[in-house]
Amino acid sequence: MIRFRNPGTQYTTQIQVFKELYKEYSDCASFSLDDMAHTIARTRLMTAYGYAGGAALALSQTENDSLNSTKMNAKMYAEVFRLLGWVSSVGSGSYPLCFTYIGYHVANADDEEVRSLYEQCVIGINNPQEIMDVLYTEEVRFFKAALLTFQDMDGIMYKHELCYGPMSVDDLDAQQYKRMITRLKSIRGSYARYQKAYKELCDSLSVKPTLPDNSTRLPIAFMKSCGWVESERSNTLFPPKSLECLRLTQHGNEMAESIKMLKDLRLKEFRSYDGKVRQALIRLGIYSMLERAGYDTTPVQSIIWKDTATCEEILNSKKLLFSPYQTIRVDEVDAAMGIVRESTSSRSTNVSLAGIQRTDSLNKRIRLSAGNNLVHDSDEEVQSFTEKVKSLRAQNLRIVDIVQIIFDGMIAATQTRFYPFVAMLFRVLGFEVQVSRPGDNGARWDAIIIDEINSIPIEIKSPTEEQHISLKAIRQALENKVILLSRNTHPTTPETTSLAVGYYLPNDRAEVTNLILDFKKAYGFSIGVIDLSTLLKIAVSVIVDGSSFDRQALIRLEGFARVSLR
Amino acid sequence: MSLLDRNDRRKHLTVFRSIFPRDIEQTYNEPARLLLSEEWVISSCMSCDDPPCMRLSEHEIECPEFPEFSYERDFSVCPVRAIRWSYESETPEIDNRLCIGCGLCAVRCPVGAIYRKDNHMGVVRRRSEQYTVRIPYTRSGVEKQRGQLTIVNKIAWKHRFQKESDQIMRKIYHALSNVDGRSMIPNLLVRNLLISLGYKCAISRSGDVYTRIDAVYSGKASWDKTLGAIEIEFGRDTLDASRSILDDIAVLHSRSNIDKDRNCAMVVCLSFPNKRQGYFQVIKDIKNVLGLEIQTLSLGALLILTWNSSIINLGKKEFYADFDHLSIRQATEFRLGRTINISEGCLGILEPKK
Ligand code: SF4
Ligand code: SF4
Repeated sequence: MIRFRNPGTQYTTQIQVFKELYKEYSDCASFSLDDMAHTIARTRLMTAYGYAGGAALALSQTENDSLNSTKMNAKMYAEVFRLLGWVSSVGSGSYPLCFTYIGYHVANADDEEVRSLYEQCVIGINNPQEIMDVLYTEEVRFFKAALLTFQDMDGIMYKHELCYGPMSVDDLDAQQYKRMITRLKSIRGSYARYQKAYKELCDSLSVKPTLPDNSTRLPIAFMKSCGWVESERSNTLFPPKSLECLRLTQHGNEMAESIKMLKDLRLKEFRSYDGKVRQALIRLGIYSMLERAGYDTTPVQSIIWKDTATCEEILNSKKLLFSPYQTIRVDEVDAAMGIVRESTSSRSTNVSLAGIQRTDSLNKRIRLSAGNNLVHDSDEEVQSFTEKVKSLRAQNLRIVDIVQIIFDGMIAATQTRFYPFVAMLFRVLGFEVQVSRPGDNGARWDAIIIDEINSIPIEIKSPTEEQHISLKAIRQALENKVILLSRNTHPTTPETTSLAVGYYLPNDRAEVTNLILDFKKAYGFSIGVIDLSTLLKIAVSVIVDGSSFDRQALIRLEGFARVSLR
Repeated sequence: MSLLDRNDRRKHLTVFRSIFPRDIEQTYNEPARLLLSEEWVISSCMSCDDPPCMRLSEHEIECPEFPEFSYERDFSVCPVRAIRWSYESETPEIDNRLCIGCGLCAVRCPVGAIYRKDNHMGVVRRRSEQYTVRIPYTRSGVEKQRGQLTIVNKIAWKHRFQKESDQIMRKIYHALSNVDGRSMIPNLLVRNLLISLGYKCAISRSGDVYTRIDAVYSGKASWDKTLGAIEIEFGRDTLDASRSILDDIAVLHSRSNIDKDRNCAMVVCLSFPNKRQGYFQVIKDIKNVLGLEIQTLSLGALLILTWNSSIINLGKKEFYADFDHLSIRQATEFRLGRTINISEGCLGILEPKK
């Protein structure tokens, strides 16, 4: 099956990025991946961690390469552009890159015009070719095969049908294509049959089911950008299941019809001709692409006539479908086109940007100290928790082990169990806590620590809602603070923290830290974040050792709470 | 190696012969009329070079006041791509099957040649031979036309696209109810409406998961220092919008030096949330505690204002509504200079639904 790597980019952004690159490097013989990354960052066409442009690049440079998102972005675009034949590798490696003759046209076309050329480039994608490393063996002009398959399948397909359909076929082999259609049709009509077919495909490739699915993203994005297909829900393909399918548009249908009329030339056949014919085919391929995309080819008409005469037998009075830049190496194409590139050395950009300091951690240590802290075991929940901890302790377990056991036991807790549990832990620490009733709009917080001076709203996320505390929770904690101060339901001060409690600390710690700092700077409020394990460590220590902890640190908490067990 | 030109090349432009319009006026659902000599003549398409009815300009979709903001470079006026250039007639052409009737293209036409009648958009192609002439599309032709249109643009007149009604609004809202959550249509629509109302507006790029701010805007005129963040919420989760806007204001305050008190932030929604949803209560809390007045505008209100070329002042926070005052009807009527023909609660355009 064809493995289209998932670039996750949008058509409009692709064009924007490409035009920016062109502006910057069209007068250079070549440009590197670093150059690309720099341009993308400078023109603010990618961002990282809420920073844009130069700041994003500076940030990503401080991290190790695999996390270097700007460069990853650049690489992704480079692949898409190469796939579309707008850029090509200079020399034997993948980089540096240069613009192709088609690329120049794309860069100079306006928004509307670019679409028709884009379409031709999408049709131009074919395998085998000599320009990119690929992971598959199919000999196919995929988008042509896909459009024809749509036609043969009543104009509608489910995305996974692409996988075991046109993504897994050698389309020049008419028999094979026919068999594929017959098979697709025989699977239709039953969801169970579809599941079986999809599983068989994954098994035969020995891949996880997500891989073929991911491989459909790029082709679907291309087809939608070209306006060939649109989404449509249907339960008729694989009843009784209703699936989001793709419907061939009228335009898609017209496109399919028009390419049927063309002489489809592939690499193998191309290589079978002698040098003079090959050169003629290259020129004809490029000019016919441009002609179909609406360009006026009269200035090169005499060349077209001559080349057509040379290739008469191959073409059989048809027009040519062959995209040289997407099939063979750029020097061979350039030679046929008479394009001479200056061999000046490529420009390399010196990236020197003001580094932006990102606070990577905002860790607040809550000190535990020895003491005769009384566990407030006035209520049943606290009592039973205390007993549980004590009985684990009686088995000679260390505090960390006890914490781990209880922690693991909560992984599947839903709101109804998790919220009261968190509230109970705060009660173990001696706070008075109230859990809000679900659906109580007056109290937006999930629980609140009630105090004569420092009441603290708590936003809780159960592990079934989200395992890692998210930005969303931080935003809600801010809102809780605002609401509490405004509505005055419980006494508090602006300096008192507002808490977000969840199972694990945030995944994107840096961005959460930044947001907490932003809130502090803009509004003056502190948001504290506590993960379950930290909260348990404090509570269990209080029970086991009678430790006391720094209440003030909790009340003023800003950022992530940390404790170290003595 | 030289590049090839397009086949579908522009061949002609239209210009005024010797007499320029002295005035322009429009009534709802009709093309505008031009006062030429002493005669009122029905306006017709000038076949603009770079037609403003189709394309926004670079400076309209960028807000230099927010240098860090990574913005979408989609220049289309039409949020649903219903308007295209016809190289045959050399005028724009509207596909009425796709068109949602937002009027954006119409109110950008300098001569009011686009109009809506009987639920159809039309472009006037029949032009007055007496006053206008077709000239070849050449550099000097383009310059001539540009010069003429600059003069026409100085005429103070107001577009009258169509008179609002519950039924018209229902149609548009219905058409928009089908767009999926990832679609750029809502954001493009809001951006382009604000641009038509005299602001610059930039929206975050489609697919950009890092930028949490939906859009930013700023005053077009150099003396207008108004600026702000925008959250666009066409779904139901308006509470998320109030949280997001606080996030936006804080991020801009701390990372981009846009003082929070300068930020005339607003939420643009499809329909006003109802009282019980809590949104307006939170908006009031924000004002109480943080002293920030977050404005709330609906798509419908923006459309009505746009259809009438109204001038608004977001810097004055005139569209502020909260729990104690749940309506922007008064503010909208003030800017329209008349009462609005939308019944109370209709689609939550001017106040929450009943
Ligand atoms: S409709 Fe108006 S804006 Fe559009 S091209 Fe014609 S005159 Fe120009
Ligand atoms: S009225 Fe709106 S939707 Fe219709 S063509 Fe004009 S801009 Fe597009």
